[in-house]
Amino acid sequence: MASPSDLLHLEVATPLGLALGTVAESVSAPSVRGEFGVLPNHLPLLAALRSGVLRYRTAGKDHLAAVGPGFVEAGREKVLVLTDKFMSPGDIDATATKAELAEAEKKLAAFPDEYAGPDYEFLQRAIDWAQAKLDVLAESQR
Amino acid sequence: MANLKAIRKRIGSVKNTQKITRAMKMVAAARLRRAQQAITELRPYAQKTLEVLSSVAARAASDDVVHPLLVRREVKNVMLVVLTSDRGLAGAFNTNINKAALAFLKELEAEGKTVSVAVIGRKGKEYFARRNVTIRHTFTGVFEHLSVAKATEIGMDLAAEYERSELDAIYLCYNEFKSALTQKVTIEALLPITPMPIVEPDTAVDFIYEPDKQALLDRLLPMYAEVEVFRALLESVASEHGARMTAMDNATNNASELVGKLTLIYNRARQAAITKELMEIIGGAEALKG
Repeated sequence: MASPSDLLHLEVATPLGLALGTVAESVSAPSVRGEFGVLPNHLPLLAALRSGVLRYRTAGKDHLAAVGPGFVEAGREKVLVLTDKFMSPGDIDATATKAELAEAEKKLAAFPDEYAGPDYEFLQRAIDWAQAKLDVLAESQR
Repeated sequence: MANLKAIRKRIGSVKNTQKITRAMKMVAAARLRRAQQAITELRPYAQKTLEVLSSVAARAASDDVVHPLLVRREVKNVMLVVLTSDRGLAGAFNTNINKAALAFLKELEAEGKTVSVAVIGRKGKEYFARRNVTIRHTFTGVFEHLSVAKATEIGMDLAAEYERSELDAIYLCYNEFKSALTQKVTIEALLPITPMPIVEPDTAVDFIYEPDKQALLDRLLPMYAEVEVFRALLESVASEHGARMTAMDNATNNASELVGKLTLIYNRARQAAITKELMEIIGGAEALKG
């Protein structure tokens, strides 16, 4: 029997409610510095998250989901992900996402090179998010 | 008899109006439930964001790390972000918020500050356009598809303007949702951000920051502004539906009362007409006898 500290409580909070609440053996999240893994008894960590693939292992099974930019707070037995977007592979619409990506890229290409205002950043975020969703889809079908 | 017909028609029209107000009340009630749920669902996220932000900000302050969104400048240019609705028939919902915002604006102007407004919602736009107020931004179509993305967009715009020092303070004016019956007009500062003083039981545990405090703060602060905007939008939407529901409930009741009164008048008039006819018949009969 595993003691409680061998497991991590994984919670994903989004503005639309708690997207995920589960117990995991390990969690891996995409930080701005690259992917990092968390096992139980991790030192307190606060990391910035970029759009990407969140992986977690529950009862010996691997799961994944797309997450948007946000934060991860990890502790000894808890991982809290704060992000504005979350989607599990089953909810991703491949065709719509590809269209989203193409449109955002087209709009982005129309900007002058040196421009970096908020709308530019906004588009960049949309592209990253679409890419993250496609990555999750590709990986889950493998 | 023409009088009777007119009253009958009037009763019919009041009843029709009542059907509409009753339907609107029902729709508002359904939407209110959804809006209330959205507020509840945002809460854990908003709270946690503020907690994380405050803890990072407090620790960063001791390291002399600053961020443009935390910097307080001498206040010269102020912007009020006023949240109204796109549609009317919501009681005093829009009037209250517009009046409060205008009063606050005059107060700031009296102190010698340059004040502009950013309006979200058609009703606010119309109100301020008539009153010679500088409208700096107009965000429209926000309520048709209320989404996090929209709030993010607005939040990013506002933060960028503050960072460029075009504005020294930004306030949010919105109706805070108390209950279906009451909304509270709220004016609160959005920027510069004031982090909560933190009371922490285990100050010994410091986080490992990835990448570092400064970079985290750079992301947390705009995110906080976005969450605040989103929260205010949700509060305002819930208040709008609550106000409309109450207003429509009153209208439905008033219509019932009016139908009652009109029915009474109608019956009286009918009775009077019958009595008059009878009198005429009796009068005629008496005349024939004589």
